[in-house]
Amino acid sequence: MDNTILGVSDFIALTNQTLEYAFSSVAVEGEVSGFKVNQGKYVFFDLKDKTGSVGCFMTVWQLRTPIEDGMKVIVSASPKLTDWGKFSLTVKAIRPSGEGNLKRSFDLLKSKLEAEGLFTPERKRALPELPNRVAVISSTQAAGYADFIKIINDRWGGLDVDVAHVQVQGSEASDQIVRALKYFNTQEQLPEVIVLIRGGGSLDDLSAFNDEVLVREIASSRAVTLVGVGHETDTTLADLAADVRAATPSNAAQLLVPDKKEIIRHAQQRVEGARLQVIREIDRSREVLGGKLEAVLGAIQRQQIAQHTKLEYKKQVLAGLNPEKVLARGYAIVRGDLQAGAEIEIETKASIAKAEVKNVKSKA
Amino acid sequence: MSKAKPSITQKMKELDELLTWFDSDDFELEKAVDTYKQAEELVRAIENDLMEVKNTISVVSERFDREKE
Repeated sequence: MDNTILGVSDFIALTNQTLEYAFSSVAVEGEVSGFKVNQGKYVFFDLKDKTGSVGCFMTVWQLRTPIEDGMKVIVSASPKLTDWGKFSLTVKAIRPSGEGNLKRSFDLLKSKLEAEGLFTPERKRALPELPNRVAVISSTQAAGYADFIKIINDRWGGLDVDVAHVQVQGSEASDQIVRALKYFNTQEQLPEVIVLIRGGGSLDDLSAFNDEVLVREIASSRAVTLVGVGHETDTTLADLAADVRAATPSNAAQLLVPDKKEIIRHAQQRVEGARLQVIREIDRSREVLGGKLEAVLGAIQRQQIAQHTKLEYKKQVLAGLNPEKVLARGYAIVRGDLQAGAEIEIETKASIAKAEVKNVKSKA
Repeated sequence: MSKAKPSITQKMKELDELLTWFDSDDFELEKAVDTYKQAEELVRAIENDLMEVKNTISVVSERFDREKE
């Protein structure tokens, strides 16, 4: 090698081959300086620490989280010597390092997406009341997933659940979740809900859920999205972009399906209410009928009294016409021909006498 | 062709309709007992379904750890 004379281009190519062999991919941590985007496509910055500095290059499409000068980051990169002899790192992925920087990056992306209206309440769709077919995106080995499945099995039945097993932490996580979202959203039979769940973790653990591409994919999902990531106090941008946000994976299960015991109890209560209503209606009808019967009886009674009164009056009139009563008042009944010499019969109250008419004279 | 067995959701919907009838203007005492019995049977059927029917959980075979070729 000592005697080999190389052309400049060959030397650069050989150096790059050696670098690729020795450091196909390296993770380097440092502070960002001189961050700039050229032509809306190419990103340049320097990565430095107390004594060293190295130039970095990447495309904007690889930039999944906001970066700014002064931010401490970890880059996954390949070292490269450019054709003009400048050494740089070609960055494949970049993520903020440390809570403060993660928080700063979170706030920057949140403001940007908020300004675009990705988190507005008007975009939110409601969960179906009783879903039949749902999709779940999670790591099937995660405790949060186990909790979710246990709770939906305890609460409901007859649900078809398709699960996409993905990484929910690390540099690959967001891409895998995006692929799973695309997979379910392009199914011929669209799930009624896509549920994205992951248990608790540090801000760094949950950083996959603050990935810009993932957040946009959730916001544009055809199926209704339900996201339950971390603990109750954790908020990720995926939560904010979802149609429905659950505090935890367990809470996501509670929001997704009703409690069958509660449903049965409620249905029983309603049917019992209907039974009582039927009884009330029967009682009411009985009351109405009773009232009508009473009215009929009253009318009959009134008629009876009226008839009785009429009868009594007639009885009195009749009694007044009784000849015995007239005789009792001192009058007498005369029977026979009232002409002189004729024999007549005179009836008084107490006796009947025979008499002869001596003389008849007209009163007029 | 035999009629497909109604799902829990369909039964719940049917129960809702029956119970709503009790509060509607269409309510008639003559029909109330039969409707009540229907609702009672439906609750029993839903209860049985909910207690017996299990969820079907299947992990899809698709892999998400690499870009689809």
